[in-house]
Order: sequence, then C-alpha cells, then structure tokens
Amino acid sequence: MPLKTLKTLGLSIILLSSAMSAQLGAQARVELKGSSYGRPGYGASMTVYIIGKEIFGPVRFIQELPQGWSAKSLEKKASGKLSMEGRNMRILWLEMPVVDTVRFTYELSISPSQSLGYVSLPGKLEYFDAQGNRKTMQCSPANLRIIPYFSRYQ
Amino acid sequence: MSVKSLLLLFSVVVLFAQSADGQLAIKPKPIIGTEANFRSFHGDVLRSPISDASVFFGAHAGVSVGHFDAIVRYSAGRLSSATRVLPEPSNFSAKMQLFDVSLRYHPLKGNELSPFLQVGVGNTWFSSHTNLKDRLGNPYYFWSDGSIRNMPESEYNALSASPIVMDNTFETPLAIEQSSIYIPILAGVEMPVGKSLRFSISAEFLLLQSDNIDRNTNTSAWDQIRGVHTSVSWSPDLRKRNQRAAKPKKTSAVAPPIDYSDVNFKELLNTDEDGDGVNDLKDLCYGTPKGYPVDEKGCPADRDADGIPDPGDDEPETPAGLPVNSKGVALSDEEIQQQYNDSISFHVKVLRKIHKPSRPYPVRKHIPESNYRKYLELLEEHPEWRQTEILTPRELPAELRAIDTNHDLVLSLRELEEAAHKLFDGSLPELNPEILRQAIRYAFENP
Repeated sequence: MPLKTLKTLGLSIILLSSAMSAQLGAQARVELKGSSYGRPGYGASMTVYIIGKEIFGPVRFIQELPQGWSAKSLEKKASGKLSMEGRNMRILWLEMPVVDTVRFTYELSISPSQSLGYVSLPGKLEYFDAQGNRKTMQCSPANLRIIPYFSRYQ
Repeated sequence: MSVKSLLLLFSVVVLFAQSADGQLAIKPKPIIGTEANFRSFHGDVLRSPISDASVFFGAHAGVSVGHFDAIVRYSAGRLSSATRVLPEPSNFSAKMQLFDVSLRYHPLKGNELSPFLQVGVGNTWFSSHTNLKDRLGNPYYFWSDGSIRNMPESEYNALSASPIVMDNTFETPLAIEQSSIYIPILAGVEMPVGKSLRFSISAEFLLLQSDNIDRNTNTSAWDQIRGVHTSVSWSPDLRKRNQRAAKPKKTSAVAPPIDYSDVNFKELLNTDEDGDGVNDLKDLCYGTPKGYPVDEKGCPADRDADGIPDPGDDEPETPAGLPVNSKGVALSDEEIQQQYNDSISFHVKVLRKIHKPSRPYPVRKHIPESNYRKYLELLEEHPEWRQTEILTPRELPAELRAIDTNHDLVLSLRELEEAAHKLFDGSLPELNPEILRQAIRYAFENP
C-alpha cells in the first residue's frame, strides 16, 4: 500500500474519531449531586444539573423518594418549579433557560422513621425532542447514607 | 509598655468623644497614611545639621475625633553621624525602628491650613555599629594634620605611617538590639491636597531616654532625634458614605430642598405685595384683590366659611355645610345630581371599556366604590352592555382550550404546569408538546 494512501487513511480516521468524540461531548446529560450523609428527621440538599443546550422545554425531572420523605425548593429565582405528587418529586421547566448548565437545588426532608444505612435515590429527566418524541434520560442515583444523630461523621 | 500606652490613649479619646447617653457625640473618622521623616541625630558624637539627615519611611493609622487625632506611627531607617573633632573622632550608624502612639491636637480644626501639636510616647529598637577599621582591618588613626593613617601619631611613625581612606562599612558593634522609650513632639500644619487626602509637615523632636545610640556618654544628656516630618493621610468621612448608601435610589417623589439663599428676609418684613396692609411674611392670603377688607392674617372676610371670600361671594351667607360653586352660591339638588351623574358617567365609560365580566376586575381600586356599585346596577338595567361584552370574549385558540381548565379564557401558569405534567404523564391525549409550547407562548404574549 503506497505511503500516500496510508497517510490519507490515517488522517481520515483521526478526523472521523474527532468528529465522533465532539458529537458525544455535545450530548446533553443530567447529573445529581448533593449530600453524602443525612439524619432521620433532618434535611439533605441535592442539586440536579442539566448540562447541554439541546433540551428545550417543557422538561421534567422526577425522583421517587422513600416513604415519608418530602422535598422543597431551595431556589429563590428558579425557572423550574418543584412539586410533590405522592412519593414523586417533580421539577418542571416550561421553558429551559438558554445556558450551558441548568441547575436546581432542593432539600430532601428525611423521614424521622427512616432506618439507618444507604438510600439510593435515582432520578430521570423527561423531555421532548424537536420531532415531538418523548425522551427519558436516567441519571446516576444519589447515594445518601443515613446516619444516627450522634455519629462520628457529624 | 507601648501597647498599654496605646490602649490608654485610645480610651481617653473615646471617653472625650462620648456624650452622657453613651453614644459617640462626634463620629470618629479613620486615618491611614504614609510618612517620610528626615531625621538627624543630636547626641554626644555630633549634633549633625538637618542637611545630613537620614530618611525614615513609615506608615501611620489612627482615628480622628473632633479636634483630636489618635495616631499610631511606625517608621524605620538608618541614622548615621560622624565627627572628626579631636581628641575623640567617632562615628556610628544605627539601624532603628520606631513605634509610637500620640495625640494630635488641632486648635483650628476645619481651616484649610490647620496647625497642630502632637505629643505621645513610643519605643525604639536599635542596633548601632561604628566604623573603626578599613576593609583590610587597619584601624584608623586621626592625625593632627587632618590625615587618617594606619599608625598612631608620633614622631617615630611620621615617616612610616601610610595614609588610609575611611570606608563606609560600620563593622564594629556598639549597641546591639537595644531599645529605648522616647517622647515624640511634633508641631506643624496640615493642609488638604485632595478629596479626603491631607498633607502635613512638621518639626519633629524625639526625646530618647537613652544615651546609647552612639555609645558615647560624654555628656549626661540623653540622645535626641530631630527632623522634619512629612506625611500624607487619607481620612474618609464614613458618615457621608453611609448617608449616600442610605439614600433611596428613586428620589423623584421627594421634593428638593428649598434654597433660601437669595431671599432677603429683612426686605420681606417691609413688603406687602397685595397691598392689603399685612406684610408678606405674615400674610396667609397672597394676591388679595385691592380694596378687600382683610383680617390680621391678610385674608379677606368669609362669613359663611365656604372658601369664597365675601367680596367675590355672590351668596356671602350660605348655610354651613352646603356645597357651593365658584361664586360661592349653594348648589341646587339638580346641580348636585348632575355632578354625581357626570362622575358616574365618566366611570361607567371607563368601566364599560375595560371591565370584562369574565375576569376579575383589575382597576376597581381606582374607582370609587359607590360608582362601581352604581355601575353594577346600571349593568343590570342595561343587559345589552353585558351582552356586548359576552359577544366579544377574549379570543383563545380552540386547540388551547383543553389547557384552560377553569374556562376563563386566560391561560394561567398553574394551568400550564398542570398541562405539562399531564403531557408527561400521558393523561391528556389531545395535548402534544407543540400545542403546549404554543400555549406557553400565547400565555406570555397575552397575559
């Protein structure tokens, strides 16, 4: 195989992989970050990040909470609105702000009767693409360790 | 010692500035600045002239209360002096740090040129060295012919002693890491050089309680440092800043202060513009027509107290409480009714234009309650008004009516949010994302 052909092939592979990685990098994603520890009867803050500008409103983030838990918004001027329906915490954005990362912080109220140990809190983002197709994006669950009030971690 | 003195002086200043109720009578102003001091040594070695002064640089901080400033100063530098006066030619160089706390008194505070007197107490730390040998280690011998040689002066050494040159290295310690209390006394003037900036220049005397700076105790007098003190201080007026910060942004509703500077009050005492016999300063009724009899306040008589002076009142004895027209004549029942009807008709016109029976009345607070009630009565009497309103309802596109759950033809934020949740839950089949987006746009454009 001539050297020129090899060079052309190599260059094409590099360009193709760059384009693919750029495409992957531009894909929107949702992340959930927050407290690592919580105590029964107390609160733990959580923040959901929606990264990427490709998602347009309406958008909804849903998180199923354990029995007896509740959530309230810690945002003073947020474009989204938090509400509870049964055990589901819902954050709704009618319009998404035109920013790279949309952030919403809320506080989970842990049930006083919550048993100690680890609690996994998965969440999912629901939105519609440009063709009106419904899309769901799962995010890595937030793992909250429930510790007693008097704990060496406090 | 110096720390105690500092606390004592600040306490004195604050006590002087406090009133009986414990509040600060005069608001203190902070002072911060830099200084350059041209200092010369006056001791046993030499009373050096000011032209040989060493420069000490430093900084100061303090607080200004009334005529007093409490100031903490720090400066550092190297003080040198030398004499070749026989029989004991000597020299020294002292590395010094000075820290003092003092009170500055301004007898003419507020003047452009403000003289001051400053007294305090301080402490200095110094290390003195002297120059006894050249760089090769040869001691200096000062001969009576004025030369410096490497051997003592004698006839025997006259031919063999070589002249040597003094270097500027002070290699031999005199007093290492010693300290001394001193009393700073300054007298000078302070002048403004900019906004909140002041420059001061003064004569400075530092009376040390030590005779060891030059390590020469020929006389019993303590060493002194004299010189010229210059400084630049920044002293912002925090009260003005606070007042500026507290001033509301919107000041249009506040009447500007009236400037009386061009009013000649003495002249006013003697002027009577309307010629009613009452001077303008005492005249409560300006512009009384000439010839009207007035009372002691300069106001014409108004027997029926209807607000129309008697000379212009066509009915000077109107019974009390009756409304009158501009000529002081009581209004008839028909005229009162007409005025009321005019008022009603005006508000009814407004209400008919803006009042939508299908939505809460938005401007009710701007219209008298009685007129609004009358409007509702008239609405009952004239059903065609209501019919007109109903025939021209607010237009809501048909595809959006599924979102308008309370059928008020207005898409509220709550209805939009409910619709969005139903859309995600799939509980409203006729709704799709595009319709919801259209509804959101419609709601924002037609609030």
